[in-house]
Amino acid sequence: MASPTKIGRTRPHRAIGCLAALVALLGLEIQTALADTSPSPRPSSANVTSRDIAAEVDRRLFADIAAAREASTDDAAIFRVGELTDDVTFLRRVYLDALGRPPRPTEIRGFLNEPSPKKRIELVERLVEDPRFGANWANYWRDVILARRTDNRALVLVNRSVQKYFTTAINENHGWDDIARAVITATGNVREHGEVALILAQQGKAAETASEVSRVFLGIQISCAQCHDHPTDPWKREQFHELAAFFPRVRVRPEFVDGQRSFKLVGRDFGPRRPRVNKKGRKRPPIEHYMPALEDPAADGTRVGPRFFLTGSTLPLGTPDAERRGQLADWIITPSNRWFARAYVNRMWAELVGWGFYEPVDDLGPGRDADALATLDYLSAEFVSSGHDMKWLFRTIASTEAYGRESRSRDPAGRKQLGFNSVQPLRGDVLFDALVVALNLPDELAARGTGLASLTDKKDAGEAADEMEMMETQMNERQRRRRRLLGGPRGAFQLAFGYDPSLPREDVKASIPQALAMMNAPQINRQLRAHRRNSLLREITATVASEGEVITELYLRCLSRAPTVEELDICVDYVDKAATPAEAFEDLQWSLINSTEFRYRK
Amino acid sequence: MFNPWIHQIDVAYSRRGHLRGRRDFLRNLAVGSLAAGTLSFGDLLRLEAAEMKRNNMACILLWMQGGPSQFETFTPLVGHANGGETKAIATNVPGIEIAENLPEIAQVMDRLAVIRSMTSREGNHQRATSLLHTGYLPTPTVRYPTFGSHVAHQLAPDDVELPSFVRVGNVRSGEAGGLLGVEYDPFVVQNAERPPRNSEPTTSDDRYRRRVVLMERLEQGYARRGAAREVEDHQKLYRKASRMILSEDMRAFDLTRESEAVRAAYGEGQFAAGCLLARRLIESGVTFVEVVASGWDTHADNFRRTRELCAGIDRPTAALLRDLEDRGRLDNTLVIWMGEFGRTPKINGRGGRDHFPRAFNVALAGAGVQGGRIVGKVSPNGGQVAERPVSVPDLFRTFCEALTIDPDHEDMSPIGRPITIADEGEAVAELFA
Repeated sequence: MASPTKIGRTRPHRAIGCLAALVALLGLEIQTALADTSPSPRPSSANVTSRDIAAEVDRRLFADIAAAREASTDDAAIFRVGELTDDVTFLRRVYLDALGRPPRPTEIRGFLNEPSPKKRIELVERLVEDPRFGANWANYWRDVILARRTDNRALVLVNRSVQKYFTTAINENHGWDDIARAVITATGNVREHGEVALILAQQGKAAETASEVSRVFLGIQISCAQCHDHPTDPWKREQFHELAAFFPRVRVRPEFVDGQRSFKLVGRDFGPRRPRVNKKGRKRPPIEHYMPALEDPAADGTRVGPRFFLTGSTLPLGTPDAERRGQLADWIITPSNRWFARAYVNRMWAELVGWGFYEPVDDLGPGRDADALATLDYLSAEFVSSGHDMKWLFRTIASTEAYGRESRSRDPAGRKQLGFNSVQPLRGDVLFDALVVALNLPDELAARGTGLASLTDKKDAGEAADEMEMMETQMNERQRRRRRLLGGPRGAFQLAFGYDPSLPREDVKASIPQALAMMNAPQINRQLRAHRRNSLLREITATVASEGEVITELYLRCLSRAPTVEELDICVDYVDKAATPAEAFEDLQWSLINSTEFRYRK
Repeated sequence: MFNPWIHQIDVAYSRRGHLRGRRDFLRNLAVGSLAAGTLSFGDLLRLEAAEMKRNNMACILLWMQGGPSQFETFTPLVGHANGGETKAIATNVPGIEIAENLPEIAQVMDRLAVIRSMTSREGNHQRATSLLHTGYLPTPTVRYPTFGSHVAHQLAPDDVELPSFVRVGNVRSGEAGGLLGVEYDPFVVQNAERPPRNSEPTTSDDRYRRRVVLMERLEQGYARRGAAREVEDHQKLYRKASRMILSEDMRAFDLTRESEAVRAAYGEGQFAAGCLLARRLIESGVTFVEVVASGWDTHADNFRRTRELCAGIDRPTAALLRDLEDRGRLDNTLVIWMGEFGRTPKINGRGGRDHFPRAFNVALAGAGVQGGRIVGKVSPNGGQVAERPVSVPDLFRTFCEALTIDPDHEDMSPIGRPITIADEGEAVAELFA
């Protein structure tokens, strides 16, 4: 098992024979299919820094892996470094990661036929400029924030505005520091200002908001210190409440806009200094934060002033809301605070390369062990130098060999394979878009319910339910409105198939209702029928004749690749034995969209 | 694996009739086997785990969404203006009176225990619903499992083809498997009268099986190319899902298989259908069923509306308890009737009652809970708990006690924080004595 490691240099694909047959099927030349296996090209004049830094990251990571192997008594196989993956796998990976959808057959053929040795990097550079890049990552951040909501109304209230905010901010290349500042200091109507989502998801409550700000932007789970001193980290209970003391003046107020009930987030600088009870016996929230007494949680507790636990910087009591939150944001995003850049880079690396330097991605410590920490710190420093440029970081990571390597399954024991990429389950939105491609559904459906639709199409809310409807078919008006606010069919699908992106991916499991929906949902099965107008099979069989070609097209649309020789044999055999070819093709397409490969990215 | 003890255990089980609790069982077993030196400590632990999962413990939660008025259900306030127009009626237990809205339940009061002194501080629907489902207030850092998920995790046998936790109807904020994983999420049935969504193949069963086999054959290559574990998990899941929908046990979801007489006993409506479904599912090996009755948020016109709401749950609830008892399942099935909070003693200007978590009521039956008991007391105006306050953690520990689950069992959150099934508190011991 313990074969010597080789980094970066790849051998031609093992299954050349296999590929040759497929490539012939695809009508491609064999050299192009294999052209990618040369090592990363030298940097061109454009984006020198990004590519140079990617190469430096690979060098440092390799050194980190070598050092870890020296120091470890583990099986050396865990430190093996994989080969670069083939073009087809890379293409699907980068489309799913950048745009949140698989490549279409024309894009697959185009990429495989492209002779440029720099085509991978050129593709990455092109994809980050696609408007869908922002829309895809907006969905990601919406999930990060809303998965931890303690107020379910947030789901309906900000679903669209949060997508719109992040889509615009990412596509217009706002820095991650600007975004963090906007989220921490957010005010305004919740349907208009998506940046309020994080605070609204916690009902504007000071303690919950503080713990989320710390978790998302610093990767520090100081909230464990809410009730007692942190068991493993140095945080004291007071320090948590001093962080909460930046948020006691945040209020969620009802507001009517165009006759529609809504809410706005405001900072309130006038009010009782201590908790006071109103006529109804309810406590009115004070404008300073009070740390509850442990032995008597109903009592007022002790007043604490704002103090940032990482630096000890303080603000006086009485500081207005805008200044409080603005100052906290500045202390968080300042380049001298290493946690801020580290948390973001660690998270993005884990999303793209499939393992995090720190895992889980929102629990960095300080008392946690990291792998290849030197690599993380190097990349984090460069990320700060880039101006917290999110597109730059995506380009840089996607240009590394670490990103481009073959994938392996996650180790159930949680041991990371630093020399490989990892198999990742698709997020709900991404799976939805994979179905849109595989079922030949209209492109408008893919845009609807995303940040792109809300930017361009104001009317999408009023449109009728359609084929992808996963929820009740018989809904009353209220349910229908709720569903529209949740983002139509996409939103409903996301509710059923989405997961919290901050969870360790080995904890993300598919459920029985999900399997049942993929297998038996009438909306999916109708669209599989060979004779249905607009079905994929009908479209394919109108243009190609041989069963081999039909099978290949089905594979391209469902799995973004051609079948292997072995798979082709199984399929042909299946078609031969079936009552009719149409029935066999329907069964094949059903099998492909229900396969493991469809739900994962390698 | 052949287990020589199963026979003896079964004998012991049936002879005792209603042997409940693994402690009794272990005591019996330990005396015989340990004395004979035939069991090691490890064997004993394994047996304990196996026995827990085999003793058919089950739980039905009747969830009253919206916060049912305690005064119009189990805590009528006689002789005070706050009681409003609701009268008290006698039950089949001398000395215990409940509200006139529940005449059928009054006739099974001897099976039922009521806690009149539940108290919490959470008066927001969503947060309180979450609290009464998980035992904890929601926080952004830990996804607490709903109680049904804990019960399924602790007690569900491995060999049952139906889902171990079924929720009939929709509970917003009822929570799910949380840190236990989606495996323990509730299997939601929207309408008790119809088959569960997506539970029937869209093709013939034969063709469906062919499709699954084709899928499994095709993905062998993908498994070899670096995704072995994902393929294995995926196929496990699909096999489980397939076994379920092709299982004979799916008939449990078909209420038309019940006789007219039984249907009539449960009465009409979605909640009645849900109760009957719950009984059928429990009999088919499901461990936890939640049945939802919504609409209890009576801010206006409280008295007329609670009368109607009670009419919808009175007969089905009584029928469920009788039915479980007739079938010998009440001894090992805990039935819980509750909502997220109670309602204000003071009647507001619209003839309604508002949210009131300070003093409300919960009813329990089965699984060793002694019927005909009242725990706690409210003040004459209904505004305070006067005797024996019971907190939400106390209540969850009581559930655990009845179901023979260790409330201090710890599950790990993703960041390694141990979470006990129930928060600190004490079970209401007098319900069992």
